[in-house]
Amino acid sequence: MELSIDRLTKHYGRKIAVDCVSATLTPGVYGLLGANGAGKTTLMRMLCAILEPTSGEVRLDGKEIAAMGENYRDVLGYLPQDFGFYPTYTAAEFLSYIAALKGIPRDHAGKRVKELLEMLDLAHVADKKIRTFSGGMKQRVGIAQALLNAPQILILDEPTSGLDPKERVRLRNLLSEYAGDKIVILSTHIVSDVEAIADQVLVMNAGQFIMQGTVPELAGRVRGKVWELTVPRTQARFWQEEVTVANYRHEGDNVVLRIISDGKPADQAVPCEPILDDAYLYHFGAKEA
Amino acid sequence: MSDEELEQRLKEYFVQTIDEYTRPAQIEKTATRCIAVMRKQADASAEPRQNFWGFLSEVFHFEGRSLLLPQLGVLLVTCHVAWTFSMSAYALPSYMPLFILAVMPVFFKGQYCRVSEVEAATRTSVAQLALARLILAGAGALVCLTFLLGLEVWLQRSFENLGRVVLYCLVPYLACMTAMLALIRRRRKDDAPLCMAIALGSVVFWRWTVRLLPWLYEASALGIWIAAVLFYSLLLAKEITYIIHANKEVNMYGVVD
Repeated sequence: MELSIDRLTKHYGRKIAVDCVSATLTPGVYGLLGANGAGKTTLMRMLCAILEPTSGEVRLDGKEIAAMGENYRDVLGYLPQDFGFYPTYTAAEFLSYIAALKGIPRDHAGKRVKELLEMLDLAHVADKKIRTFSGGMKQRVGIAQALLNAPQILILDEPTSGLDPKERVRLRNLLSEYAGDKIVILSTHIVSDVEAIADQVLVMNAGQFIMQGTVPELAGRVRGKVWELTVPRTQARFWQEEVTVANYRHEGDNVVLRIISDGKPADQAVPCEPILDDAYLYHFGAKEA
Repeated sequence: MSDEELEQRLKEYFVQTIDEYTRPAQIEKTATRCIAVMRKQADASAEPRQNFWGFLSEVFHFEGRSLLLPQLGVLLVTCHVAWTFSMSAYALPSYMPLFILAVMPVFFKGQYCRVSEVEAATRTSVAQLALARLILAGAGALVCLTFLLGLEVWLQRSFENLGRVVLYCLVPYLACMTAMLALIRRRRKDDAPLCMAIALGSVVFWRWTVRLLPWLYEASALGIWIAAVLFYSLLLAKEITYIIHANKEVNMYGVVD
């Protein structure tokens, strides 16, 4: 299975939301990273064929998805960023409704809904109205609906937003387990989520892919540019204004700063092993990121 | 055949067989066969999918009440008014947009509850969902209209004007339904309030025609009504064709940008 994005572009009037992006996605987990307004959601909506590109095309195994119609949607699972629900429906009813829209016969749907409610720890609230749920529970209902048809292509827009750390870890494990021979694309602001599960990372800025690679590859690009510097508390503010500070940790009367800089920022600074966060900050700067 | 000879022959046979099955063309042929078998197995294990009629039944299960009960409410109000005030057939057109108003929330709820994106990414898509809702709403309206016409005949104790009354009911209904579908196709945030305004405006307009354009309800104006029914039927057919096309190919129908 191969999902190819070919010079995909989307304009809103004069504003360019996605600017001629191309990529070839094969089974695996893809993390889409980028600041707000980078074009992640627009790209994901075009991948789901619910937003018409201004130009360019998306192909699944060589066939254009817009022309594939229900055959494409049949292999697609999608969780939008702004996920809504019908207030009168319970979790089980909502999932059964979406299962009906996915064309799953009622006897199969009942079994699948039950499985997913258990998998996402929602079985105990299956018969409660979704409007009474917490943000994290609603998000899990959203993830469950995306998984209903066991999709070959799973697109999740900010799936970890609203989830507590325990739920985030559970979701990460679930996605890793699910991926296998499927294409999973998830967008997030949370670099650590991508770092934990993504096989490939696509970094977007101003509608374009500015970086693409595995986590070690991207982190490796800033090797020799990440430093740790211990300074008195009084100097912390100065350093924050002067350089990109990725992390700030108190240690007695001093603070330990993790600095992203092309050159050695001070004689006492020691080089450290880079992580994906550092690569992201190197390209966007602490304020922009 | 001696043991040595047999051993030699077997060795030759194995070498020959291995050589035959490791030739690139043979490997390719075997791989093609394996892929075909695996695809066949995958197809057999794939979950079945509903056809449109099965889907229609599911939509009826989930949305039947929301589509039919409000229409029943409008029917009861119309019947009550007709019965109490001996309403003339000319007043009927002004009640027809209310049947559209009654089903409107179901058509727009996806936009308001922010579910339309999820619905659009499903196999059936928003377009097929709209088509199923349209069929159910239309069937409900047909039953209500038949009941209303029956009541009208019973009140007038005559079948004489039945054909004209059918036209009086169809024109506003088709016009409002077409307007609603055209608005959904437009995919803007103000679609629902605009649709509501059109339906309510139609109620006022048709009441106004009874008082200010009485000639419109004379037998001589029948041609205008027939032309109007044909015109709106064509527009409605165009909207339905668009929905069917939207379901087959692109899938942006009804999702607000």
